[in-house]
Amino acid sequence: MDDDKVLFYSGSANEIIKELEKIKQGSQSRINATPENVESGLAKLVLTLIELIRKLIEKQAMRRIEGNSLTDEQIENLGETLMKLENKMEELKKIFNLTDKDLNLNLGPLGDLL
Amino acid sequence: MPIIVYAIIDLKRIADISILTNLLFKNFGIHFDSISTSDLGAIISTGTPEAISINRESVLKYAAIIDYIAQNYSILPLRYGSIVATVDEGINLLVKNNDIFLTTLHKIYNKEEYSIRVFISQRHQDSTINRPLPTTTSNIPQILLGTTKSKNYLLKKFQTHVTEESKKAYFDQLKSVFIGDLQRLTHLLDFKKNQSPECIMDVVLLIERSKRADLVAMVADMQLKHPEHNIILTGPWPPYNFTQIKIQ
Repeated sequence: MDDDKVLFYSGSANEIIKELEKIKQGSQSRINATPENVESGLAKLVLTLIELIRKLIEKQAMRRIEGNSLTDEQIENLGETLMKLENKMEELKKIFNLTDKDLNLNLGPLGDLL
Repeated sequence: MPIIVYAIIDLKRIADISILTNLLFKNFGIHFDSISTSDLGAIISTGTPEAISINRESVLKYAAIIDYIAQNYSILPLRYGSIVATVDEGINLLVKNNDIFLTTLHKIYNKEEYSIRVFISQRHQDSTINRPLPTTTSNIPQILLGTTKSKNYLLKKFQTHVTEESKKAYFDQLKSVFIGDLQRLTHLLDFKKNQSPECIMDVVLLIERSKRADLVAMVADMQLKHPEHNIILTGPWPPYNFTQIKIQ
């Protein structure tokens, strides 16, 4: 960015630079499938979608806990299910050599999926 | 030979395009031309193979040209890669989109685009926002009290959830204060999805050219009221975010 375009900034310059770098990185996190890496490209896409659904389920569970609408037995089942789901995701990430940072999709002007 | 289109202008506002094309020639060393209908004009140049090759240098040059024109005139900026096959096709483009081009040019007349990003400072975040929720029985749902593995797991998740929710509420509240301030200058605001968890607000706005000093003063005042956050104001930019048109 040209210096003459920055009209005002305050606070920590280092933090601002770090934040702008993150935005730049975000725009690079797109699925980049080629014939050589199509398997891991697809795995990344599928696991990102599964992670999105897992997080939605988790959010919904927290809302139900807040709403006091669960019985003791349901709480036990819910905890076990979410735990197993999280563990399974960890296993799959290891198999495909992916980290949490990899599980995201840049949707252009809409920002990141996760 | 194809032609590169840079910007569309309202001929009622700019009577003599040649003044502008001469200025551009002086600044960029490229021979610019124009095409026009009765209402609209377009700044163009010949699409030589070098000029239309896709590389970083040509993209930056194209952006610099648009930026230069936008700083001096109210224009509808086009994006890199706006190429038509012939002059006739260029004129056709102006004719077919006459109404929407004129309406948009009217909307942005004498206005400039600016961007404001507000980030939460790491120090403030660590000390206030991301502080773990105190684990007293009063703020934990009764149903999660217990020692089973499931309940312990859900309790940790719940604490993270509450921290996230309070951060979101804090961001929303702050954002509404900033929006209130900005709306005193303009209602032409376009919010972008935050690109990082530390970003409180990412907004582009369109204001009258004459209000630039007011905007800078307002942002400085916002920073003064919220020294715990980092604010960055950039611009003026060509009004890309307020001229998104589906061209026919």
